[in-house]
Amino acid sequence: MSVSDLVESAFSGSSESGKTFGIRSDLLERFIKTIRRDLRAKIGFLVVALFGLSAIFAPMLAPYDPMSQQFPILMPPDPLSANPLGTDSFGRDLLSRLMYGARISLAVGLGAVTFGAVLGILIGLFAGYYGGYIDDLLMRAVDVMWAFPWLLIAIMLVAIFGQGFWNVMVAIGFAYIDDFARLARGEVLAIREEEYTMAAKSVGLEDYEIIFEEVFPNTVAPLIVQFTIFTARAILAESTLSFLGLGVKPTTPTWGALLGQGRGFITQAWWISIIPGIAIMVTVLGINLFGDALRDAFDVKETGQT
Amino acid sequence: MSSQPRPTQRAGPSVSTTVTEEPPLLAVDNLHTTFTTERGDVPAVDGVSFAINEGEVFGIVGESGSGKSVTALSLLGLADGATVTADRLCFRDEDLLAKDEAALREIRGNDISMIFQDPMSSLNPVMTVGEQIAEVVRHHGDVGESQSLFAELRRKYVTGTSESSASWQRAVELLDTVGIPDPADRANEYPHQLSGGMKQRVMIAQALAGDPDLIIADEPTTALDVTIEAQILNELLDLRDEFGVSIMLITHDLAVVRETCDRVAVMYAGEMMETADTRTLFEDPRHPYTRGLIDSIPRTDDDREWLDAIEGNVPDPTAKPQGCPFRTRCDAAFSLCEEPLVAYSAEEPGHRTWCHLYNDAVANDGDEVQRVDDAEAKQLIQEHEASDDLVTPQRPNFGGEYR
Amino acid sequence: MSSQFESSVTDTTGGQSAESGGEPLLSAKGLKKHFPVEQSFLDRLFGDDEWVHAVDGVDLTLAERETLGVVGESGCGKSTLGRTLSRLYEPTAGTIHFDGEEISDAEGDRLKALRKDVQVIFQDPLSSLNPRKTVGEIVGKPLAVHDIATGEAKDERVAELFEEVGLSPDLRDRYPHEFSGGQRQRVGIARALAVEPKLIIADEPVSALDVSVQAQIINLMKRLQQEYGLSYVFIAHDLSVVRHVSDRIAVMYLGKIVEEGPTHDIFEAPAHPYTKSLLAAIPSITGEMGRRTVHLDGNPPSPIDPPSGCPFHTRCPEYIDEECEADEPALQPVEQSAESDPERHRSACHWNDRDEADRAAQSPYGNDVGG
Repeated sequence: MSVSDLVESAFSGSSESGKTFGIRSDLLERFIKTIRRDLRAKIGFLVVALFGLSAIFAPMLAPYDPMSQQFPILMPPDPLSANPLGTDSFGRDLLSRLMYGARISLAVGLGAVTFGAVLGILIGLFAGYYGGYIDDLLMRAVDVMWAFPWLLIAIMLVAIFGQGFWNVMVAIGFAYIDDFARLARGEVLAIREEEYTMAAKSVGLEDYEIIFEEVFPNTVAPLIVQFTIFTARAILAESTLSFLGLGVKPTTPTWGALLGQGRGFITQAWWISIIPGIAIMVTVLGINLFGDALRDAFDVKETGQT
Repeated sequence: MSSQPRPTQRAGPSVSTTVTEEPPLLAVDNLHTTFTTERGDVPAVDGVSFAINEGEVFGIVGESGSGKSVTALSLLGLADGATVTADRLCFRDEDLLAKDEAALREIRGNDISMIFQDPMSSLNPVMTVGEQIAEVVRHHGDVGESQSLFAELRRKYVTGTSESSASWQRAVELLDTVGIPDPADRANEYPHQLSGGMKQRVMIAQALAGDPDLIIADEPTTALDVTIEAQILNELLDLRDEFGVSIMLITHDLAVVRETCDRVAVMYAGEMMETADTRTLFEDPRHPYTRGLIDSIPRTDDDREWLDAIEGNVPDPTAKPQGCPFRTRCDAAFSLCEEPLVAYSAEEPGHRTWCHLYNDAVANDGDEVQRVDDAEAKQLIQEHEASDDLVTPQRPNFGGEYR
Repeated sequence: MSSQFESSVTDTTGGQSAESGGEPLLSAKGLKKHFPVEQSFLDRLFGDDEWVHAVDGVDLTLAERETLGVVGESGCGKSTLGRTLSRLYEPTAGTIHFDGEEISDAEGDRLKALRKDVQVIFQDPLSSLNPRKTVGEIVGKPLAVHDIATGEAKDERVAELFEEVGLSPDLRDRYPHEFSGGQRQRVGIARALAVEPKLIIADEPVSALDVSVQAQIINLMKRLQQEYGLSYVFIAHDLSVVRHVSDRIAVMYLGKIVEEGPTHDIFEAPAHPYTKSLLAAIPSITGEMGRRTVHLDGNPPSPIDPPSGCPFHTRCPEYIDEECEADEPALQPVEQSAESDPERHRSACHWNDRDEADRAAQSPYGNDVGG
């Protein structure tokens, strides 16, 4: 595959002392290998790259200003016309709006899950590793969080702190802390029984070193899977908040907002809501496949043989 | 150790005289079990032949990767994902390879049952042990109790097996047979309430529930303390004496073999190295591997400063050396070792060694080669290969195959 | 071998030997380690505690260059003892002296310094190696942690260590799962050796290995002991293995040492009924063929609620009378035979104070068990 070849050649030149850009080269090798031989990983990589790049470079790539109402309204998609994906009820170009929307949706999605994952994994690692009162305290706090429906928390947070990119991101991410904490803790409990944590202690490592150097890398595989699933959910969650009018900003194009705007026209202009829906679906699928490839890359037993 | 310079008797078609007159309970001839993996074909069992007689305790001893467990699983059609072929795989003259899954299921448990190493993971943690045994009793024995799905579900989730039912009473009886004190009370306990030794006894009781003719015990005592190990092994021997059941005992522990088995086969890297009756194997081990194994064990009565370890490691099964798989670690390896392995018989009936040191054209003092007549030796090897000798491992000669 | 090591070897050869009776390298007094039983949040809140008495008052000493074997059935607390001695576990009570220094409450830098002198080899060579690190990283880690070597010096040192334990240094970039059990245990030994420790606590180092590989590892450990002047606490359930490597043996039952003495004495003239039972249960590849006679029925009682008096009285084939249930016998010197040294052979049994003739009449082993 040409894409993976490209990636490989880009990285291989700068490899020195087992590290490439600070990433262990065998990890990178396994990642490239996975993408090369696994079709699903390839698709995932391509989708993520495509959507990611188009989001990052939307201002350069988008054919029109997503806010300008310069076209006839409710034009159906036509690949050969000036508006390949049609226009909305205000005469705005849907392709441009979709590309700009990807910026917010992907950023909020990834950002929210990263926020939830970092906090949740930290809680889970410490709770699982130390056990006892620390475990009780942390996990009971997490249980309390879990007892509230996420939407309620999100609405509450947005109501208190107001709308806006960062607030929405935190509001969504908040809901994922407990899942990450519980999953990480479960993994740690299993790994804590392995003798290598004891061995690390006997070698003289401090607790925090053991947690981050010995324990954490072995919890990564299920956490990555969790991460990708939740990224998909977070994109949808952002859509939900936008749909309820609690999203980033009412006028900002996000995929959720596009979906919401289209709901009034679903009988006359299906494309306004269906196309962002498809975009969400494809991204979610792509991220999941990409996550699987990443997980395989972390599994030294998978392809690490020499 | 005898210093017999070389065998005077050669393996040949006449070998059948060494076996008792009645046909063996289980006859395995040239068994091959091959797993297909990403890294290539793994011949886990590579040409294994043996026979187990009625009422006999037959030991298979080997290190990890020797294929001893896979051999047992292959017999019962339980080697998942493997291709199993054999010239002969007969239980009481019934061809096991010709049977379909339903017929094999009938055989497993009714005629052949298995005991595994780890009793904890082999028992269902949420059912009382009595319930688990009674279920097997109902399944295999004719106790006149309904076995409909509904009846089983009712027992499992609502009422439990009635303590006055025949199957429950049989379960209690079986627990008593395997030496569990207060069997009627113990039957109502869950696996986690029992100690490791007790759990292994429950496993044996469960294996007995189908009234089998052959029990395959795969490392039954490896997870147990020595004191408990002795109890369990004695229990197995009692069962043999009492019910005449045959036992195939798979273990890595030569000491266990020595005190329990009538005959032994030594396996290495999926192949047979040596087979003999137990006393002969320990008094006159002929294969360098068998000798190495015996010498490497620390004993309670030796004063060796250093143990006689076999250097090196078991070969990677995907890259097994040609010829004798042990030759890369063998001190006595010589020019013929790359030739295909064949069995050589010793004077003692049933004592066979898969080692070219015992080729008639080779003069050796028991473990070191003095002289080889290459041409004659190779011809003898070919003769052995061509002969119909039951126990000569040959390269696959497909007689039958599971699916 | 490295020059660094040669110097350390010459250093220790001048030290005292096992017999010289000077200050021991390691000594423990009244050592206890209790674990809380898994409990719910509320139980803990209301202090409704139950404890596992894993190690329950152990005294022992270990001289330089000596190997002390610790044996017992599973659950007797021998692994916990090893981990407590190496301060991987916090002792509940008692003192540990290492190299003349009290270490039972060592923390911070003192604990880190101790980690350099005391190393542990674990039972399961796969479980004790982090699956996501190459074996080279694993062996190099202690060098970095203790600032012994970095960069190229570290790589060199790792290569030396690999060779020392019989592995090719070319294998350093592989992951643990690519090795066989014996090779993995060699990696574990190389890791322990990296910091040039004085004491290695080996917790069942060979019980997960194949017979032929067991012998390789035992030989390797003995050779390293001679080369580096190491002391070992060798924990195992296999008495034949322990006999082969140990100078002295301590027999544990329910968290207590019930008998200890020089290896020869323990095997030729055991004094405690439990030791006799264990010895009788050893499977043998010499001697008479056929069944083992077992005089030890059932299982050890739960360490959560250990029996009163002598912990062994519930299973003892040589049970005397109520005294066994009421009073706990103390470890005291015994004189089992002319050659044995009563100062070093000690046993905790009420028979020590009774008439030997009565004992012989009752014992299923007769008067002399062992040899």
